[in-house]
Amino acid sequence: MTRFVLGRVAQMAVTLLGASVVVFTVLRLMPGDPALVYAGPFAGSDVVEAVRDRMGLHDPLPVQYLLWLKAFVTGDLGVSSISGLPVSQLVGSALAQTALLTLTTSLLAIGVGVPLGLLAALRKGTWADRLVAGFNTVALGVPNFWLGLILVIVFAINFSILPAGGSAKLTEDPLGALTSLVLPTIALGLAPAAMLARLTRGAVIEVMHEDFMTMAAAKGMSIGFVIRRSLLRHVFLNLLPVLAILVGSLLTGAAIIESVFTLPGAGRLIIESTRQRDYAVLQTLLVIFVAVFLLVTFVADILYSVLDPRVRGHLMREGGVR
Amino acid sequence: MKRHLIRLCLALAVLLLLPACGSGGGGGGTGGGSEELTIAAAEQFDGFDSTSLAGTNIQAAVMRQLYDTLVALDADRKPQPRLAESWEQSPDHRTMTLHLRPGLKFSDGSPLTAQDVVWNVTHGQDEKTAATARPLFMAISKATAVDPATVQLTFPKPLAAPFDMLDYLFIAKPQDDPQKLKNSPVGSGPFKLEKWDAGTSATLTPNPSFWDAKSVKLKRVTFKFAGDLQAAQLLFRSKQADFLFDSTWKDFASFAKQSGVQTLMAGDGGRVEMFLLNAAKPPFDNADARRAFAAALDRGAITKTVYRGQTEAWCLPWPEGSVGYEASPDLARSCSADPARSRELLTKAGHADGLRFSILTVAGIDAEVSQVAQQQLAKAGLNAKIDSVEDTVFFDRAFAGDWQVLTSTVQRVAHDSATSIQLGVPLQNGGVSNFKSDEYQRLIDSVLYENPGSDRVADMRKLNEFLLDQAFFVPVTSQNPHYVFAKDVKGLQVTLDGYLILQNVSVG
Amino acid sequence: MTTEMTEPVTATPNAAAESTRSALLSVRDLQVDLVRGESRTRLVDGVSLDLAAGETLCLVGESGSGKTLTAMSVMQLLPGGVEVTGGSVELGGRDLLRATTKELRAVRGNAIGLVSQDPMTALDPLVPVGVQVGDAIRAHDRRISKAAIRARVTELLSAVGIPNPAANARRHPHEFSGGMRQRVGIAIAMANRPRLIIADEPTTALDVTVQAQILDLLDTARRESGAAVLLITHDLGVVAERADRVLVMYAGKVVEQADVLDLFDRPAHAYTEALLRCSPGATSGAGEPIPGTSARAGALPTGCAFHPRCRIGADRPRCQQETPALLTLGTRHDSACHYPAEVTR
Repeated sequence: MTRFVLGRVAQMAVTLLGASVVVFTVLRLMPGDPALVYAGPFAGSDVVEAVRDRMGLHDPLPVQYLLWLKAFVTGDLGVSSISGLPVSQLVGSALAQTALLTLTTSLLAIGVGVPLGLLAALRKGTWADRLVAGFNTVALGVPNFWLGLILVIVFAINFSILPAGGSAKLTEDPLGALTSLVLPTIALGLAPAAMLARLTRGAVIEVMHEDFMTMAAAKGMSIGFVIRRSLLRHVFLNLLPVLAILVGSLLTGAAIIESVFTLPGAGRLIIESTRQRDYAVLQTLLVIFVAVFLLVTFVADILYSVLDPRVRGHLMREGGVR
Repeated sequence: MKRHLIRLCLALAVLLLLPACGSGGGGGGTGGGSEELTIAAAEQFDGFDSTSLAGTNIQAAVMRQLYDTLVALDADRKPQPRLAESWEQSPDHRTMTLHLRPGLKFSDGSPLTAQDVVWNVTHGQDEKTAATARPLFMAISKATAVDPATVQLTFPKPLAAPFDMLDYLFIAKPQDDPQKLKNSPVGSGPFKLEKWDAGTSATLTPNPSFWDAKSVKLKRVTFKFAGDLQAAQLLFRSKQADFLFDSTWKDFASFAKQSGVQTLMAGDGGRVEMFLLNAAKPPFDNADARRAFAAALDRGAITKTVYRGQTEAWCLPWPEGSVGYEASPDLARSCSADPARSRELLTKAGHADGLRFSILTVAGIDAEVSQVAQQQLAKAGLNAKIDSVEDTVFFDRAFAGDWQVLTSTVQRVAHDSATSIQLGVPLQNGGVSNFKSDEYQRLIDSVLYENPGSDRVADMRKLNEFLLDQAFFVPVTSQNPHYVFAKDVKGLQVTLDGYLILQNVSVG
Repeated sequence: MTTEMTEPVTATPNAAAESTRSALLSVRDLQVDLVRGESRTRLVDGVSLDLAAGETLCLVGESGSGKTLTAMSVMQLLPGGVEVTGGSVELGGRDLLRATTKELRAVRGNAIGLVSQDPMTALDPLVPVGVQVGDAIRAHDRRISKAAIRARVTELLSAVGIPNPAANARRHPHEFSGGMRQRVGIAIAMANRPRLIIADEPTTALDVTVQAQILDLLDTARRESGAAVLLITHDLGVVAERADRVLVMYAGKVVEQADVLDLFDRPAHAYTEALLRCSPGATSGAGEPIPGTSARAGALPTGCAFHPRCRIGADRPRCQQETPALLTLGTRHDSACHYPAEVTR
């Protein structure tokens, strides 16, 4: 197991390094000169050159990359080329905001989606099943930003019971921060909830067909007992890859919803810094995104092996094979 | 494409919302506190560098709050004392002596002396600073601190409008680290920066060391950055902001009809929308081709459709009251479309069969203007293709000279028109359009400096005629800053350029 | 042509109906249908059987003959869409078809233990085997202590021949061989000392070498507990060794039932005869396959469902047109063949 973990960590480090090269190169191949963003398109060449010099854009690309990498691994993420603020501060606060929204959204999606899917599967073919299917169709069909706008219009403007946008910080104004998360969480979480409900229903029905479920019934176990003992574990294992992708994609930014609700999260930061060709911010953010995805899948794999003794046994014997 | 779709949907949703809440925003959004103002803005601050006036409107909006100038121009373009309580000019107008108010302090409580003013001048002149108003500062050959309360400025040639330059000289506390000047501003204005979360909000609180601190009524000013126009509007409508800093012309026109809110279109001259024609590249290296372009344009139709009739068609980039306008009011606003003449000029330029070219523009109002212009131009045989690109691509191509026509705005034309030419890169000799002529330089110099024995107004008229004839830039309309705010916001003032002055604002 | 009228109709119809009321399990005229909206397909048609305590009854037939459905009808654990539409199932005099869900749950795993066909899939791969055995106990005794469960589990595992039972209880199914898993399966079935054990082809998925061990284990369990065993198999060798009585099914119907020796000595149905011939394990089977394919529910041939494949009746109009009834031929021997006399050993 340890060997497996170490192996995977090493593998992730290599992937991350490769990703950083790609990110670095692609950003620089992208049209758009950050010096011009800073100085304006009509600035004199002397001014633009001065700005380029200050941004370190005159060094050859490999040198720029190595300088950045060296600073990056020593924890110096540099400063934004536009605002001059430390990248760590910008990225940190954006990621914290997004992580919070990811947490609430995931909780909503799982808390609503899994029970609904369970209900639909256990009452397969009844009106409850059809009701859940109807909910799923609607929730998956409505674009989340539109839903967000409707929520804002109804709850923030017409009834004024919840804020339209949130910039309150959890540490400074916990209540304000949480209430401002209610609407975006609903807007963002409803479709994943429906997706999870569908997948859960399918997974439950699939697991229900397993011999061991018949066997459990033959033992005289009640349905509640079977759900707790076997069904949920299997359904969770089935859903784990999807959950990993869901959490990963939420963490890497829900830019549109963040725009609708004026949440200063990672999605908005990436759009804004792309617009401004803020290399320092973009590089850090993109590398962190890659790391997040690697980490989430890694955690999912670990969870998988913890929950599935077959995989665990395999890993123990083989020392970790992907 | 997807982005456009999203914008469309956002716009639709906002449209839905219009009848739903006729009264719109309105005070009390910030907890009923009568001394707090929350401003919803689409864009965010890039920083608070006192010399950086380019970039977004919001950037210019915060300048006057954080920094004061020695002298400021009032609505009649008359200098008013600010940090300097008095001044005198030498008889030859080559030196100006300014006397600072006694006991001036920066927002951190440290004293503000003549030496600090000198630092700001030399800092603004430094190439590395990349100050927006550097061309104006370069007119100062020497700045000295005669004593801690007296500054003396020397000009190589007597300036016709020296106070314009002083109106842009924001006094910041000297700091060696350029990042600090940007992030941790220490200023001399009525407010100081309390807190800045880039991308989220910035909070200003009164500067207790401000020389006129007792006039400041607001206890807190918060800028909230919404990310786009629609989101900003949602903040305003849900009463989370009492001031909407920017809105589309369509929304502004609709707000202007509502009774629950106040609207203000700041004075002319903040920005002028214009086409620039590249004089270094065919086909517009030919003056007749440029004249044909200018003659084909129906500015009135553009303002009516794109600006919802809120603005006026301009032929010269000078607002009323400026020397440029007063020199030739007959030319400044009357330039109706003349496709027949345009065709004639085109034939003269050797393009009897018509002309193909492209207009470089960015999505948004500039692209809308281009599209309306495209149809007008086509009637005269000028067939334009519209290249609507992302900001950064626009910057790259504009900087590299890779364009034939582009849309642009020139900012701050409300001051003396000669100053405006010097400051506005598109208007300069050898500026963005690559138009360069000795004649133009001679005309500029004739209005920029005080030339004994010459008639400045007559010179300005000659300059205007020259500009209309050469047509390397073609003004379309003024594009003034326009604000929407709650009924209980009182005492709002704007600068000559239309930017916010919050010193005397109160809420409730 | 002459043979057609030689058959003496001495048999009484539905002989099983008159057998003893003392049977532990008594199934009468069981009908199982596949219900899809309006359409119904008969899968099990009028099966009756009796099983006394301590007795082993083998259900024999090709796959699809309805033997598993018959057995699972007893537990009321039928796949979705499959329903019991007629008959009765009595266990110890109680009609299980009229029992509530709660009552059924009390019977399952308690009075009736199930040993499933495939020990690879019948155990939850995510749950330690000890827990799975323990669940069978806990399902019927909410108040039992964890320690008591653990002790009983160890005892059960030990009884089915799992070495080092306390430690192995903590292992997961994938760590066991097929035979060991089936031992666990038997431990689960025996957990609450059932009166009836249903074993659905308990050895088909196993290595030949361990098949006998598992069947021995089942036998031992039966002997020690006095339970009745309903053993489903298609292996006539197993039948010969383990069964007291045999019930042969074809296309959802009982075609012959008899005491085991009687059946092997004097098969009275052409299908039974064919089965005996094709089974290499059976006493004198030649390994001849039965020609043709098994009749499919919903598309049964007219007359005797077996006639298209029958050595005797393939060309006889009576077999083609007239459905034979299950008639008693002699002592505890019933057959549904028009020409039982022509069936040879």
